[in-house]
Amino acid sequence: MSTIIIAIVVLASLAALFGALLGFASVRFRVEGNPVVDQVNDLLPQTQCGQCGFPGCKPYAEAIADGEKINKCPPGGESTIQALADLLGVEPEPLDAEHGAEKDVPMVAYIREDECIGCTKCIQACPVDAILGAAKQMHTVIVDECTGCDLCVEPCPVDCIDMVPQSTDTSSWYWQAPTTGVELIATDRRSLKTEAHA
Amino acid sequence: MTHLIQLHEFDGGIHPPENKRQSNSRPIRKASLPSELVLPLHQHIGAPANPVVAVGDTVLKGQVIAEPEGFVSAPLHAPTSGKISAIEARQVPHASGLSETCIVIEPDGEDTWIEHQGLCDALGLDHCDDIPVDKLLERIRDCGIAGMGGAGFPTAVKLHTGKHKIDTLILNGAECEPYITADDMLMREHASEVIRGAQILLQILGAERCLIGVEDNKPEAIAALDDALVQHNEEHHIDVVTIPTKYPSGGEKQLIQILTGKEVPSGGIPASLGIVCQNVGTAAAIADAVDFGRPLISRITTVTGDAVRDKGNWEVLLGTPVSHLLSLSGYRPAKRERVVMGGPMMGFALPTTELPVVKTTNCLLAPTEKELPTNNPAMACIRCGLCAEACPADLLPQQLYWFSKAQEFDKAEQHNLFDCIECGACSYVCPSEIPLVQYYRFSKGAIREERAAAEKAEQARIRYEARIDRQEREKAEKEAKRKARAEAAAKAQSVKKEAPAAKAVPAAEPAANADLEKLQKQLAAAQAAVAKTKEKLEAAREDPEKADKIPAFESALAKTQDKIKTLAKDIAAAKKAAKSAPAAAGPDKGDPNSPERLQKKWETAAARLETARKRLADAEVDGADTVDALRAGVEKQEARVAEAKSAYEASLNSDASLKTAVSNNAGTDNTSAETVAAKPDAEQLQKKLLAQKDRVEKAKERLEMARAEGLDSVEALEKALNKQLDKLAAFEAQASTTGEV
Ligand code: SF4
Ligand code: SF4
Ligand code: SF4
Ligand code: SF4
Repeated sequence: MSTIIIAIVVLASLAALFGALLGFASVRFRVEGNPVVDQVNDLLPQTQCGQCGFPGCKPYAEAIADGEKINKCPPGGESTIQALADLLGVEPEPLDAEHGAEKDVPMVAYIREDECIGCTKCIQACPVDAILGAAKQMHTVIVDECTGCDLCVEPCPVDCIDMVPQSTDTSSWYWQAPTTGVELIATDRRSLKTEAHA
Repeated sequence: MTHLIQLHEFDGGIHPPENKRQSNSRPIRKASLPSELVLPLHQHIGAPANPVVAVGDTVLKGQVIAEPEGFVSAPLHAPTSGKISAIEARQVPHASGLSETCIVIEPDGEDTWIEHQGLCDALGLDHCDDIPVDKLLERIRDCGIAGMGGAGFPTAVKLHTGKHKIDTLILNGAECEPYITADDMLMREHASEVIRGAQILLQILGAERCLIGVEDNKPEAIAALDDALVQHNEEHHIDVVTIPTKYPSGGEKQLIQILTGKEVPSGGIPASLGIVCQNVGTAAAIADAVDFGRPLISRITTVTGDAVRDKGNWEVLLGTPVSHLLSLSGYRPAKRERVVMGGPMMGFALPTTELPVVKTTNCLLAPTEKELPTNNPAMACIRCGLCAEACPADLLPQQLYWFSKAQEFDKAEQHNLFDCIECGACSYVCPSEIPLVQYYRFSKGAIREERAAAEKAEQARIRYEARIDRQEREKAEKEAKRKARAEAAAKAQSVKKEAPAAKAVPAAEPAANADLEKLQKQLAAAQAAVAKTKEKLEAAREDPEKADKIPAFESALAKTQDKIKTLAKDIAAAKKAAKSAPAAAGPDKGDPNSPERLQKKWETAAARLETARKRLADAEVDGADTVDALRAGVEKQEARVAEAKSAYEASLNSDASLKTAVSNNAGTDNTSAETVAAKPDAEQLQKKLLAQKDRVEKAKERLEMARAEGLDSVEALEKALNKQLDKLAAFEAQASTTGEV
């Protein structure tokens, strides 16, 4: 009889102890916000272009967490879809063409400054505050902050904003992968060489 | 004296044909002055320098022409005296063949030095051994010294070792790459400067010993250094260590391993092991800078390869075109020939020879096709494993190759891609002639780009969220302001309800309220008085003694009742006025759709259109290229004017009824205004009335008292009371006339 009581007491006290521990941990190590949304948001390209149909990457991340399709972000392209599929454990799908095509080169906005009439419309459109200017003053794009989202182009009343490919300099340039040659093995080389000379 | 140093060995490595004899058999020659010097602003790792001269300026030899931008950067000096002929984008010696900003100097042929002196003299010290370390570092930075072995890392930055305590300085004189003999010749001819540089570096670092590692294929250099050691009496601190020839023993990590047996951890820096490694050329440049104040404006460059007749080493000014140096050496270009900057293992083919010599140009190799055949097409990897055997960094080049080819960059990174020093040993041994290093360079670049993109995305995310926050905050602020305004308006409205008169004299609002209250009080008092008088009248009727007073009481009662009537009238009037007040407030001036406003809008829009048209006309006259923009602006403005006009007209029509309402309100306004004008008089009257009543009350009391005591003054008192009562009646009559208006 007493063993049973002891067992019950021990189990009950253990349960109480772990309960208290878990309760403490859940308060002490509470995760702010929705971790899935943040993880998804980290994978999105943060171009904030709205091509996905949401007003920015975070809203799309929230929608994905709620079951939205993962193939709606053209700036992210296939690699982002793949990463999202890996994260969420779903099948990757091809990019939904309805939302636009993936660009092959990153773009930045460029304002032809002498044509700008200083209407500030582009400032209001830029999702990352990458445009500098004031009313009736010339405006310009902070290239390093521009995500190339295109959103400033449309509102400009004088069409003085162009999207140009991001320029490469010697520090951002890198070697391209060698074009794969003919995948022969060494003993075949002679015939190849003679062919080339012929 | 050379200490016995236990040498270690690194894994891998290769023994390619050295091909050094061609160029190290004759002394260094001084290259002649070319017709122009082209100095790229970005000759070092870090931020490009910032030009401080303008086109047309004349500069002296050694004058600063570009200042460092930020901490990791280096200044640039004019290599000779002359005129700045251009500051423009020119193609720079880089594998990409891209253009970057360069300062172009047209030499005047005088080669006049700017005033310069050694640091010791500049500071006026007696003992040149105790120059403060920060002064030494400053001088090294100011003289634009950047690693001359290959990478070009700003030396002063590398010498800032932070919290790491340095015990060993290693000078790299290995020069393991085939063909190159620039360091070899420098050590032979400038051994003393190298040792002096080592002394300065030791002082800066506070290190105890210095090892100069030289491959055993350079006996002359070793002998020269030993002699210099004796000269400088430095045999105890500095050791010249002969190391076996093997490629790539000149790699920083490899040389450290050979000399100390320590391995620099993956991703770490030598300073974490207490070691700093510098090139011998850098040491000599430091000696020049500290002892003579000569900035880095020239270097020793090997020109070799079978396509040049006159192989050898040149002391060449930075910025000298490669073509100039090649023609000095008797370059005979043949078909399909290329010029390689750097050595055959790590160098890159130049797209053209019209490129300048920069701080890191240690060799120009112009091989013939026979000497250095171009790569055959790559073949399939046969998994022979030779590359892994050759790799000095203990990597698995074959795996890295597969991952790079498949663009599985994360896996390549896991296989320590970034520890690859791009030495080319693997490609050299590869029987399938796969350009392995190019694959690694590609993956490294792609990974770096990915990292940069991730960083930028993070930045964009932060900025986007900050913007959203700001917008929400602004919205909340606007909402709060709007609420506050609405509340204030509501308050004002309710106040107006209570006080109609307040409209014209807003300050009098509370006073008006008080008037209404007063009136009501008076009414109450009068009613109470009526009740009292009635009681008294009843009593008097029953009491025969007081019968004679009945008429008096009756008249008093009548008077009080009259008074009540007038008071009631007054109150009614006051209430009516209060009610009409909010209506009198009429159409809100703040209403943006009020016709007045719309009209104004229309007018300003029209005015703007006028100015826009004027500007357009001006622009058209001038033929300015803003015409199109202006025209678009004018069109927009026209649309706006039309819009404003139609809005105004619409408001005029639809607001006809509103108009009448407005005029009605205006009428009420007038009435209340009149009331207001009458008000002061009425108030005064009321006051008088009250005072009079007081007096009547007092007179009555006195009369009562006199009667009770049977005084003979009763009669007189009665007369006085009657007079007072008459006066009161007169006031009341007056008050009632004003109050009725
Ligand atoms: S489509 Fe644009 S806004 Fe939407 S997730 Fe992609 S980058 Fe962000
Ligand atoms: S500048 Fe234009 S393209 Fe660039 S982020 Fe802003 S809105 Fe997008
Ligand atoms: S929208 Fe166009 S005109 Fe207006 S401020 Fe921006 S760049 Fe200038
Ligand atoms: S290039 Fe890289 S992988 Fe190849 S041998 Fe050198 S260190 Fe190893």
